[in-house]
Amino acid sequence: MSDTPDKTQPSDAELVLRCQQHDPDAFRTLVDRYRRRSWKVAYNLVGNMEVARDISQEAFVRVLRGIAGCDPDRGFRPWFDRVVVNLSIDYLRKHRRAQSVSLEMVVEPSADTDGPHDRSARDETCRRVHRVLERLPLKHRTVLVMRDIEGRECAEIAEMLGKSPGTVRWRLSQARRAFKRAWERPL
Amino acid sequence: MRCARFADMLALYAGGDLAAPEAEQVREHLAHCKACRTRLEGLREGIAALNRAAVTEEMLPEDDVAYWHEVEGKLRGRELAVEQLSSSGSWWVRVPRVLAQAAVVLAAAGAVLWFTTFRQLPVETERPAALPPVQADQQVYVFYRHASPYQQAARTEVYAVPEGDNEVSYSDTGHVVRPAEIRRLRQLILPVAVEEEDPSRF
Repeated sequence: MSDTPDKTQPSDAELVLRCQQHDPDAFRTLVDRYRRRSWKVAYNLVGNMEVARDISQEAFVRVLRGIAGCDPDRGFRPWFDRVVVNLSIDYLRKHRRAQSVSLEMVVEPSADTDGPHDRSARDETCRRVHRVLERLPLKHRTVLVMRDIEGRECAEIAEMLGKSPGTVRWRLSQARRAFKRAWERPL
Repeated sequence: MRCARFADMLALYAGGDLAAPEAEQVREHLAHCKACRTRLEGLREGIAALNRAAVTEEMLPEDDVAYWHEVEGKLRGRELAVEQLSSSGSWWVRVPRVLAQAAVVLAAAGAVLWFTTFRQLPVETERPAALPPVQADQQVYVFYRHASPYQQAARTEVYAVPEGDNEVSYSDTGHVVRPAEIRRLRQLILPVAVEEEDPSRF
């Protein structure tokens, strides 16, 4: 993606600048570049494919409306990730009680080198993890997903959530202990 | 050392999120605490499960081209909607906006009308030059006109009864005092004893 600069492809900063000048082609390129990433980020948080895709779609609408506020020098990806994460948190807050993970909606790996047995075991783990995550408070669930599923650094999480790194570490510690207790308890 | 002190540090240590000096403390504690080693195993198991549940972009289903075309269409639709809101737009966008603007204009006009019509501020008028200067022992009569919700109370001080029966305006708010009123007031406030002792008044 944008991590490895490609001379033939325009950079994110260039695309953002073009978007700010109302260039529809630049926006379409950004959609192509980031649609799967936003889908993945949203899925890891909400645990539902369809919902994640809708969130991804909404994120691009927000981008279109707020592209003027994006600073190309600070990078498009962190800004965009923050939009997706905030939308996912909003969704989880609204549907805290009603949400559930549909078994059909849990990811079906498309191209995978694992055997069918490994794939099935991982799918089962994935389902169970999301069922356990649903039982955790939202603030715990958010940091847990961002740190232990997505592998983001605490400082990055703190910036995305608008909290101090100390708060994020404290929440992470509480969240891991809560997840351990829930994981060890039969569903 | 007590295990409770290490509970939070252990959770961070399990994921490699502890700074080196604190991690060293945890390692020292783990060396002689079997309960905490068991807790650490549980924490690591949980973290490993979370790691396994991570979905990467490659693991997502194949792109549904029709869906993304739909997204693009929606985006374009929303873009148009935003443009319509900010520019002219169709009648169902324009009419409520015009009505809202008209309501604001009417409200502003009403406010201006109310202030200019009903709210009367005191008008500066000239004091009559004919009145003689006030003496130290002179009787002063004070007349009040009751105030309405929109007008200030009128207070008129009369130092001398004017000549003849002409009406005289004394106050700076245009309060007209008639000489007959002043005479009536003088009779009302005269002490009873004085009235009885003065037979010329009967």
